[in-house]
Amino acid sequence: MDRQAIIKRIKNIIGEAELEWVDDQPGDPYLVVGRDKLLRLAIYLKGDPYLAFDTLMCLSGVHHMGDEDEVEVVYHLYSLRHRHQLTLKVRLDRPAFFPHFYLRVDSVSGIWPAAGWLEREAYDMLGIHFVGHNDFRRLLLPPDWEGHPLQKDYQEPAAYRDISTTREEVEGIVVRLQEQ
Amino acid sequence: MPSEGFFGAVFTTVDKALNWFRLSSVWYLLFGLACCGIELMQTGGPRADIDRIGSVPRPTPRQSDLMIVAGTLTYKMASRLRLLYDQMAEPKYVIAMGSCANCGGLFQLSYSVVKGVDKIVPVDVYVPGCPPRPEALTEGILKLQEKIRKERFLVKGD
Repeated sequence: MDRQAIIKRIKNIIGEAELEWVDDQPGDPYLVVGRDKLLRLAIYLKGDPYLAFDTLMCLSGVHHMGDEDEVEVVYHLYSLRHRHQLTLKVRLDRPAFFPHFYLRVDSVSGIWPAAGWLEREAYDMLGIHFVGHNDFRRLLLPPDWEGHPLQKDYQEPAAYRDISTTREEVEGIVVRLQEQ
Repeated sequence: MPSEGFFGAVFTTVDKALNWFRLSSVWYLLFGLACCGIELMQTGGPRADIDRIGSVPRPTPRQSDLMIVAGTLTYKMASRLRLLYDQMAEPKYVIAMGSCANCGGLFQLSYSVVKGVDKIVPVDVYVPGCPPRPEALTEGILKLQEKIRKERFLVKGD
């Protein structure tokens, strides 16, 4: 199916109001969906025989910190049966108070098992909580790590397990370079 | 059996003899963490061949005298590095190979990389380079041999 037919078919089931189709930006055109509609849409995308998005190629998180502080979850879907693809985005607000409480989205790991590790990585790096994941913990960083390092406002702590995270002579070199 | 030369004997001190035995068999623990590990393999290979100065790789810390930390050490790996170091028998030595092991190197501003393995274990020789050539690592081991040659174990002080 071509792109327009895919969009038309999705709009039939989800409704036009909740979807935003963006194709005037550089890069692949993408579909923005509300987080409350994500699970329903995902089940439909996989189950519908004409769409049949049976492969989750990539799931990643993006933190935009410009005028508004928001986190995106990006899903790259592919259909091995029909050889078409779709990019899906969910946007999450990140208010200053209790940001971790708002960064929540339904897990799609029950629909695409490949999402299991990818969601854990997105949680590890950006602190997005995926509700319904059956083994939800950090993937790459140690379990006692504090904070999520790819958040734009991440501050590196002075020490991790009593190992200091700075090197004195290098700090001196940096200061000298700045003075020159 | 007829002796040859001057009495057919060599006179030396026990310290010197022990040091000579030890520096001639510095067995190193295979500890390749990143791309420096490839150069470490080359150093053990036929071209640089540190086997000829008595260094052979061991896959276990229990039989190693030297740990060559070759590559980028992350905080997650740091506890494992310390564990392996503690399992080595005394006397033990550490070579920090490459910029990452020396000071964090290229990953100086990263959140996950230890800024130098000397924050975890005491380091005897630092080998600069990114990665160091096999000749540089060979020179590092020769420097370590010079260090071992000067050690005194039987007499305290001095």
